[in-house]
Amino acid sequence: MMMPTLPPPRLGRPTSRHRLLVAAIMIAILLLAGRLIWVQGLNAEGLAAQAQKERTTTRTIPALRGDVLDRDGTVLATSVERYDVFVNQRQVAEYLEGDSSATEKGVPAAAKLLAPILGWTVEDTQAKLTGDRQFMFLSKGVDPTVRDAILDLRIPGIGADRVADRIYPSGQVAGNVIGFVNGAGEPQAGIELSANEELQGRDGKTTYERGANGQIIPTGIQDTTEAVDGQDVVLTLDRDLQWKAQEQIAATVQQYGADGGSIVALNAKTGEVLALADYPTFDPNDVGATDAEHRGNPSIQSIFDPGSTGKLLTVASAIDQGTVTPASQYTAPYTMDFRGHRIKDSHPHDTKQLTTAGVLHDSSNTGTVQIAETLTPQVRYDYLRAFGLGQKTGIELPAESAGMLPKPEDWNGRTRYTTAFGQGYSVTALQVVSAISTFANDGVRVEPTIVRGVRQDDGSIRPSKASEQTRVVSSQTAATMVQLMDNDVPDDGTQNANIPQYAVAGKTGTAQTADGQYTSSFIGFAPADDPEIVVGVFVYGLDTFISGNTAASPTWARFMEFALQNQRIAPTGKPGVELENAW
Amino acid sequence: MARTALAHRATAPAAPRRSTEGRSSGSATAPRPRLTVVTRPNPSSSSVPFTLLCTAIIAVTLFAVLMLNISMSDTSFRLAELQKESHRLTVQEQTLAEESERLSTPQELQKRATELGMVPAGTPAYIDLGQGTIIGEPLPAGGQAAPAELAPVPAAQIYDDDTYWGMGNEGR
Repeated sequence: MMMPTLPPPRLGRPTSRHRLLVAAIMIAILLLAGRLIWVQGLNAEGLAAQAQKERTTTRTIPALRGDVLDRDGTVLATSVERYDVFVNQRQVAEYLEGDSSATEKGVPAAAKLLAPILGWTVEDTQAKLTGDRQFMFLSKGVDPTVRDAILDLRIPGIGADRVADRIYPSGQVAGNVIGFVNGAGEPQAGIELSANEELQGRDGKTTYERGANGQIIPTGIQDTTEAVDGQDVVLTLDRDLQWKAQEQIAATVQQYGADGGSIVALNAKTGEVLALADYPTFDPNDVGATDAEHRGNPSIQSIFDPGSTGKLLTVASAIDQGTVTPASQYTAPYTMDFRGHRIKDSHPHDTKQLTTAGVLHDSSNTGTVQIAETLTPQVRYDYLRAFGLGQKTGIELPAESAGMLPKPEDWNGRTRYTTAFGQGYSVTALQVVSAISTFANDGVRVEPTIVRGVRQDDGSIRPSKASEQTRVVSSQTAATMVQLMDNDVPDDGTQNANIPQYAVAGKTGTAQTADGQYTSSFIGFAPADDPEIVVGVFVYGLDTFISGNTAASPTWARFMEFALQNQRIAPTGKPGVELENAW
Repeated sequence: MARTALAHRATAPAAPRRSTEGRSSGSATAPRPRLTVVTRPNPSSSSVPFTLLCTAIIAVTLFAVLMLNISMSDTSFRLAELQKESHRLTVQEQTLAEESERLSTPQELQKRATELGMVPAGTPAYIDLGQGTIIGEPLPAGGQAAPAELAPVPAAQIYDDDTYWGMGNEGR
C-alpha cells in the first residue's frame, strides 16, 4: 500500500539552514587549515629558519672598563663612547644626485658640509672622499655630538661605528702612574696594566629577534648574558698634590738644565703614596707625542746612588746599636785615610771638631765613615736591608726596580767606606723616601702602596691589601733621628728647606754618577714634632755640582708648604730642635 | 453485515492506535485532517546558541590575543623608544661629565684663577683655639709675587687643538 505524500510544511527548515551554515564554516575552516598546513607544514621549516636567522641578531655587550680615581674619588681615567666615522668613497658621488635644485652635487658638496664638522679644510676633505675605496676610516674617536652632526647630513656611504675610548681628563697629571691603553684597549703601562684584572670586566652578549625598526620582538628568542663592567680602582694619590709636584719638578728640572726629576710624597704612618711625580712625563691621551723612554716612572724604575741622604741610615744604625750618641765627638778633616783608602769631603775645609749631630749637619763624609766603622759591614748591611734597600718596595706598579745593594762580603776596598755616605749602592727615589719615612713613623717602615682599593657598588672601598710593617730601629732611635734631621734644617732660614712656622726635619743629598753627572736631592718631613707626610725631591743628571740645598731644597719647601695646607696640617707651634754641632 | 461489523470491530480498536502513531510519524492511513500540529525543532537539539557561544568564545579569544599582541608590540616599541631616549641621555650625561671633568682639572682651575686675577695663597697664619694664640703673621696674598712657573703642566690632549667642533651648519 502506498502512503500518500504530503507537501512539505510551508514554514522554515532551521535544520537544513543550520547544516548549510555549519558546512560553510567547515569549508572556511578547511580552507584555512589547508592554507595553514601549506604554510606551516610544507617547506615551512626552511623558510622559518631563514626568516628567523634574518631577524635574529647577536650583539656583544661590551663591558665598560673601570675608572681610575684619586683618593677623593676624582676621575683620573675613564671610558667614554666614541665613534669611528668611515666612508665608502664610491657612494659619496651619489650625494644630492636626485636633487634638481642643488647647485653642487656629489663629492664637492659633501666635502663642503663635512669639512667644518671634522675641522679640516674643504680640499683635504674632498681628497679623502674621492677615490675607489669601499671602506676607509675618515676620522676615529669622534665624540657623539660630532657623529650626530655628520650622520644628519645623510651623505651616502658615510657611517659610524661605536667604540669605547679611554680618556684621562687630567692629562699629564698622574699620567705616569695611571699608564695608558693602546688602540685595541689593551693596557700597556702603569695602573692600567698592574690593575687590569680589576679594571677590565667581562663582555656579555645578547641574542634577540628584532623588527624592521630594530625593536625587540617580544615573543621571539631572547638570550642575554649580561656584561660585567670593570671595577673602579681608587688610588692613594691626591690629584692636586700630584699636579703641584709635577709642576714644581718640571720647573726645577728646567731651571737647572737637569735631565729629569722626581718628587715622592708618602704618608709615613700608612705607607700611602700621595704623589709620585716624574719629569719629563707624558700625556696618556696622546702617548705618541712623547718618546718611549719618558713613558715610565723613573721614581720607581731609575736607580741612583743616594749620596748624603744615606748618611741618615748609617747614623741610625749606629745609634740603634748604641755605639754612638748624638753628642759623640769626632775630628773631621777634609780628607782622611781608612786602611789606605782616601775619603774626601765634598768641599775643602779646615779640620772640624764635630758631634754626631754636626757630622750630619755639615754632611761630613770623613765623620760619617768614622761613625760607620763602629759597626761591622754585616750589621750595616742588615740595617740597609731592613730599611728596604736592595729589594722591591712592592708598590702596585709594573717594572719596579729593586735597586742594588751589594752583599757585605763584596764590600771590598772603598765600597766599605763609601756605603757609609750613600755611594756604592743604588736606590730608587721611592725606596729611599720609604726608608727615611721610618723615622717619621716611630722606627717602623710601612710598605708603600699606591692603590687604596676597589670601589664597591655602595661607594665604600674594599682595601686591596694590608701594607707590611717592619720595625727597623727602636722607637727611641727614631725620635733621636728626627731631632738630628730637625737640627739639619735650622729655623733661621739659612737652609733653603725652611718653611715658616713649621719645624722641618730633613737631609740633603748630592751624589756623583759614573758618567760624571750629579743627582741632588732633599728628603724631609714637617712638622718635625708630629710628622705624617714625608717628601723627597730628586733632580737627576745635573752636569755640574749643584748641591741638594740649592737644586732640591727650595722646591721641597714650596711643595711641602702646599702639601701641608692641602692636607690641612697646621703648625704645632713648637720651635725646631737645636743640637750642639761642634765640641 | 456481521462481516462488516466484524471488520468494523476489527478496525475500530486499531484506529486510535494508528492515530496515536500518526502523531509521531504522520498519519498514513487516516485521511488528512484539516488541522495538524506543526512540527517544531526540538529545543534541546538546537545548536545555534552553542554555535554563537563558540563563535563568541573564539572572537573574544582572538580579540584578547590581538589586544595582547598589540600591547606587547606597543610595549616593545615603547621599549625601543625609551632605550633610544636613554641612550641619548647617557650620551648627553657623558658629554656634560666630560666637560665638567675637563673644567675641574688643576691646570684649568689655575688658568681660570689667574685670568680672574687671583694669586696663590701666601704663608697663612693659624689660630690655635686651644691656646688662644696666633701662629705666624698673616699677610695678604697679593703681597707675595706668584712663583714664576717655568713649565706649567699642560692641559690634557684629549682633543686636537686645531679641530673645530662646530655643528655642521657652517661653510654652506
